[in-house]
Amino acid sequence: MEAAAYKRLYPHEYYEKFVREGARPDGRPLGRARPVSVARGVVSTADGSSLVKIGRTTALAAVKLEVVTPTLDAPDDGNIDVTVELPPMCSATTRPGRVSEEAAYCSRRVADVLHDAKVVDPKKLCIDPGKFAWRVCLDVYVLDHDGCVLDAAVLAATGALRDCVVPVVSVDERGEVSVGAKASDGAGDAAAENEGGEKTKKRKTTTTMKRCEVTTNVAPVSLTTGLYRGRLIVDPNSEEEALMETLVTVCVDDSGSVVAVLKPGGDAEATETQIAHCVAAARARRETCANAMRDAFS
Amino acid sequence: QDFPPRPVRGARCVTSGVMSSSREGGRGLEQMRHVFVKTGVISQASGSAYVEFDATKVMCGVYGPRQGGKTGTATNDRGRLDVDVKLATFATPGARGKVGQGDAELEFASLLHRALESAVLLDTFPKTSVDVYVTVLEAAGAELPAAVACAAAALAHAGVAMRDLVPSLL
Repeated sequence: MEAAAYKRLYPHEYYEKFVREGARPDGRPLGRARPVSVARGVVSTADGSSLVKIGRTTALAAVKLEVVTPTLDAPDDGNIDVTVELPPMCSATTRPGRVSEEAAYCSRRVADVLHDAKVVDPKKLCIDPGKFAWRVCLDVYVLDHDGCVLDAAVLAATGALRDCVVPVVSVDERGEVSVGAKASDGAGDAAAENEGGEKTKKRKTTTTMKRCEVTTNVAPVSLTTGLYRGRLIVDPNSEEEALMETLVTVCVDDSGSVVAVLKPGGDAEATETQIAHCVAAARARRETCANAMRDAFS
Repeated sequence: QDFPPRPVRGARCVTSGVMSSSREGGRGLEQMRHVFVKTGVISQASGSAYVEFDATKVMCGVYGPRQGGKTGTATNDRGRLDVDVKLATFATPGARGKVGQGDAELEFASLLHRALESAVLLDTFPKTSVDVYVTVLEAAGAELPAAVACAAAALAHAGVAMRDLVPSLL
């Protein structure tokens, strides 16, 4: 029987033949993750954007900023709204219509990671306490689902936030906000605030576009490892993900501290040693991703 | 949110351009924008394409022929062509678009379906359907022609039998 037919009929036996030798069908050893590449500024209609490829998995993240009223219980904070979308073109199993479970899961996890790793400081998003703040709408579209979308989404989200240019706003005495490089109406004093929170009262505002960054320069890195019959398979692609008993995702920040460990159910338990190996693999991955980010943003 | 987006400045800009036979950006009246087409951009799809008309960016994935989809229209002698269009929330300049699919996207999908169904030979894949999924990543004018070009290239890449590639112009 030829290999393609055997793979179709007996996927587990086919995969086992490779894994037993310590390799995988695409040629990687069990512990090697796929190459990463990051690009910035890919969508000109967005305030910040980034395209990340991990192997063939592709995620495009873009940021749209808008001025909103902060909530009553957090008048000094802006907010960040994260959505991960798996459009129907990204894989054979996604369909148009309702948001899939995987997309909803990824949205929540990426939002949690960005919050816990303190990638964005909500205090820096405040324009006028109690009155105006920035809302950062971050949308991640997975264009090609070849496994480990969470890893790609986290990296793309961080890249888009880092690429984001926050325009300077001026709040005039009537309490109206105008965004961008504009002189005020000239009606008396106007306070011009930039992202750093500095207040400069001028008689006539001359605002200039300043390249401020939304992020605190922290870049969390996530790595997904699959458990398959007692072995750890790092960064599985979509064919391998379908065979895995369970997936463990570990997210670390720049200093190597663990931000998140995710193991959503699955058919197998993960022992402490296995989790420790996953954490070590994520720490090793940090270097590669940091280099890719540096290449994009240099 | 407008989709297709209305021009920021009014008709004055267009009329003045017509009078002087050049447009914003230095293009002549009959001059097209720079086109970029690449197939094989989505590894999971049977066929895929990415098209850029200057800043307008459209990506399309074609799956099929495969089973499933809306029941009722599948027949024994002809296959079905399903088209779905999604506009990314960051694609239009200005405020963020809605996450769900609005009427404009459904109309867009219907126009795209009409453009493609006359070219695709539906009787070569009876009882199955070919799904065409288009995502507009950046809308800077001429999204429908770009989507038609993208979908046609993706269908060709997928090996779906067609009478010819479908060109389009706005």
